[in-house]
Amino acid sequence: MKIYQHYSLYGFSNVYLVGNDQTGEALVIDPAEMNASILGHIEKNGYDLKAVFVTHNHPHHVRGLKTMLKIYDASVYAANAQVAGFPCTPLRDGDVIETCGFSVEVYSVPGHSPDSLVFRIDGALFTGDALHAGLIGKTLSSYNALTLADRLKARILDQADEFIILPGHGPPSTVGTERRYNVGLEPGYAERTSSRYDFFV
Amino acid sequence: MHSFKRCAKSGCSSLCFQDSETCLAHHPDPAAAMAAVQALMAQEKGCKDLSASGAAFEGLDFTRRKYIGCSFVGASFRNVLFTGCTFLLCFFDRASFEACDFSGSNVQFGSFGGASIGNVSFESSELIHCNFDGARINESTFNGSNLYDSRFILGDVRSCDLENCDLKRVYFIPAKEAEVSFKGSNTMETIQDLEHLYI
Repeated sequence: MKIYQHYSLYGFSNVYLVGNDQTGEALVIDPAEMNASILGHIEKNGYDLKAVFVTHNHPHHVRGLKTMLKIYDASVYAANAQVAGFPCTPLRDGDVIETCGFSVEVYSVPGHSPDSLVFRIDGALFTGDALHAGLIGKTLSSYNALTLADRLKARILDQADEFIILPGHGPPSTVGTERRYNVGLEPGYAERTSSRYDFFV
Repeated sequence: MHSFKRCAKSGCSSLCFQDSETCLAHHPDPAAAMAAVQALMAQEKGCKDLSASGAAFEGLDFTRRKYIGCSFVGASFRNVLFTGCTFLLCFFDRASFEACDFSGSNVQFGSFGGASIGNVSFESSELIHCNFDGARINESTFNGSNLYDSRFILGDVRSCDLENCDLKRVYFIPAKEAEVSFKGSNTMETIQDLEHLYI
């Protein structure tokens, strides 16, 4: 598995290209943008882009989808049946998608948005905006924050310490680090912060 | 990317060491395994996808090497030179560093979560999208570095210099902080409290 991370200045989001050198196929997670750099990585490695996975339908994670689908005949997977006007294969918690020689496990982690998904490929967890390094995703209410934290603890942070976290924004982390050093998972965090957010993306 | 295969020893949940079916602790010849990893790291071109969790390095010079997609989780580094090195998508979570030199390095999208960092120089480096959450950092310098979009959350930062640094979009919310100098750095562009999160 080869992972290429691209930092998009549109929404300061991470785009991930996951390639399989054995099959020559690749998938993209959260196409925040499609530019020459991402295209160059796909073409330089000779990948056939087969699939696009969307962690949640917020504009700064899907804006590049239209351009990507003009160039490549890729299947789109998301929680919703449609993203940015394109039909998707709807995903549910526990689904396993076999594509590009990978098994992509799907975890539903609502809270930041109702359609938030986390994808696991081998030991790499693509957490979108549900979980960032040291923080959990922003929510509109303390109830959502508690729901998100509970769901993360039960479904994501119960995995192996060494599994890596590749979030929708910011630096990477590991499950072990997030279990120990994430302020969003501390008791009382949701009540302290949710009503004071001044910006929501 | 490094391997996520688990150690074949029953009851052990650690990751396999490089080119091995077990972790370093259960390796039949740990000295030979370590020597092989050191040889890979010392190659002039550097290396990719290395699995070196739990390894111990001392008194080595890896100056100007390039490492991509490597795991050094729980490793220890003592008197090791990484001067001018490039690290892309490398993981140093829970690693310990003592008297090491990363000056002039280019570390992008790296994780040092929960690491113990003492007497280490990161001077004049690109430390972009790096995770120092939970790290205990003592007597170390980041002077003249670009720390764009990096994070220091719930860590313990003491007697450290972050002078003349670019701290744009840096989350600096350590649990403990003492004698940290930000002279000449753009601290106004950091996020230092939970009321102003931008993600």
